[in-house]
Amino acid sequence: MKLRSRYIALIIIVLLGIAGVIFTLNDAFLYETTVGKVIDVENSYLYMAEGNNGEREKYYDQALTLKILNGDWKDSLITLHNTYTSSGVNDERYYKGSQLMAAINEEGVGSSILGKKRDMYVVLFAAIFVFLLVAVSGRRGGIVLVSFMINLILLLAALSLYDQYGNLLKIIMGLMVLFSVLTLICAGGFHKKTWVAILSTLITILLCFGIYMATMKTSERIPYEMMDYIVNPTDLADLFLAGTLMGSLGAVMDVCISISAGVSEVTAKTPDITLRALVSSIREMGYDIMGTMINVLFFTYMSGTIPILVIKIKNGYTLYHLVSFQLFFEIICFLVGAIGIVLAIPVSGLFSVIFFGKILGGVRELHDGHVSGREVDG
Amino acid sequence: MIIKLVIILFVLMLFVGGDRGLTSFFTLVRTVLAFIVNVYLIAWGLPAVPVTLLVCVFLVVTVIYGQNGWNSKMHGAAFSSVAVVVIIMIAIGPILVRAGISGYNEVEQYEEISMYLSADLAVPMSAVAVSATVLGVLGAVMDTAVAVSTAVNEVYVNNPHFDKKVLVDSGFAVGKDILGTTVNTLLFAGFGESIMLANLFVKNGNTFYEIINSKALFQEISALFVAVMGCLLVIPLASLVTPWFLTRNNGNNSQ
Repeated sequence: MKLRSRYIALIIIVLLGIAGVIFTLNDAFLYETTVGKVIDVENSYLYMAEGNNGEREKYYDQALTLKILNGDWKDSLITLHNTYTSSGVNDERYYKGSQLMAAINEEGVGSSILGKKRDMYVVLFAAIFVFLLVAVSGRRGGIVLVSFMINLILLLAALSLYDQYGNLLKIIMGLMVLFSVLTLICAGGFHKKTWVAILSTLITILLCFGIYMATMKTSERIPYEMMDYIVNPTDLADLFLAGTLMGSLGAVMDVCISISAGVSEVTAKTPDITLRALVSSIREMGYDIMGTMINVLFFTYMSGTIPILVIKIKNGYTLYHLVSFQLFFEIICFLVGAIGIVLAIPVSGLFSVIFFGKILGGVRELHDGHVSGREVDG
Repeated sequence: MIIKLVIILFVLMLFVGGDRGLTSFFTLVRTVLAFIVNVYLIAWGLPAVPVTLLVCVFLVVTVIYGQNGWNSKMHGAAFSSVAVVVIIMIAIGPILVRAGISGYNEVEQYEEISMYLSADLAVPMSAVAVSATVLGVLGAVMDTAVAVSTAVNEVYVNNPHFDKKVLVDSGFAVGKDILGTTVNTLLFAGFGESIMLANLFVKNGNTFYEIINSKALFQEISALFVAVMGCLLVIPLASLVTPWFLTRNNGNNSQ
């Protein structure tokens, strides 16, 4: 029965996905800009340019025959030219069958290509994502998806709130509390372990915030002007802090729910477990999570920087420059997240032990010395 | 500031994880070095995709076997991690190239720095972008693969008579547990990374059409989606492959 409803859900997802892709392939009528489909491409070699280190960069010209899909010139054919290079750092290569947006003037004079139309790829990826999520983890996947959608909407709402009223940090702090409550309830249900996880997540994030502020205040100024996507130079410090803490939030929540769920299970199975055994099982769980989660975070943050790193290395920038300016923000995000992961282990361990009722007079001393001592040392 | 945070992280890992925390820290250092080597090899003109594949194999071998030892359950994890990386390269790579994720996006194109930098590099940026996406998948994939293989092995050790189907099911069950949390880590890391871009879209009042077709958005979400896809693909794969490695090994031992 359960399996059958999953198959039905999967079929619906596949159909919706196909419908979505077909729709986005044919939604040119919704666009105000002119959309054209490339029906013929003729590439011709133009010339060779020499790069800084004697690289041989080839330039090509594309004669693109477009069939216009909307607007006043619908169904007419037009030929536009585009230049692309073998590297493609600052240009785009178009393929037969792909759709693009263009600014068309009288009879093609002074027309130009504005960019690729990518909505079908966004829909395709989203469809594959949802399909796999439900196929592999069923209802659980559905819950993850719903909590993701809610969080995304909340984030956008918070940013437009900020756009209107200002005071980013307060909004983001409130947002993070909302995020952790919602996401953890989705992950753990209405259960004691969820409340423990929420509490320890918030405390850990506060500690991360403290560590970030303490190290920032005692170090050289952060080169905010090197950040990507700057709109307004006055709020960069707040935005960066918000991004850093939010990036850590997911990982910290994961550690906290894993530990509190683990302790909840252990104490339910063996109610008379000694405190020492409980602490050592928390350590064991913590170790298992720590190494791998830090790895996950590293790859997530760093891999996106590879293209710009390659461009800069090719342009003669040193590793020192790259680390202190280009990679700086990703490294800080990663380090704060990693610190959050490690801190979350003793913090959630401490609260799990307290709330799952293992604290008794004499044993309490041992426990405090053992678990919270480590936070103080950090 | 970076150095201070590294020291704090090191001290914390040492105190919370003890010797094994230390091992994790050095695994991390090795990963960082492999990452840097990967970037420089690409920049020196070696073909990006094969180089990244080699680095991925190196990382899988050192991280998975380094942290968990050389044994048949880890063969399952390592094999399925590499397989997922290859699958993603072959299946998703061409889509990414066609959708045009490489090179500067609309926003970066008009930033000052990109005007100074020479664009004549003779390094195909589309291959670089695919490599970057694949490398971003690796951490989550390895994490999930190890968890699934370990769980399958646990069941197998306790009940060696279970048939393969039971083992596969237990792999799936653990995979689901891991998935919920790993996906959260990836999603929020993605949120944290794209907060600047989201703010830019909100402030500039871009239309929905501009946003959904922009390269900047596609670069951010494709990395996120592909990472989650990798994570999802590795669960069935590791669940299916690990029992095979386990029982094969058992057959050899009894002969």
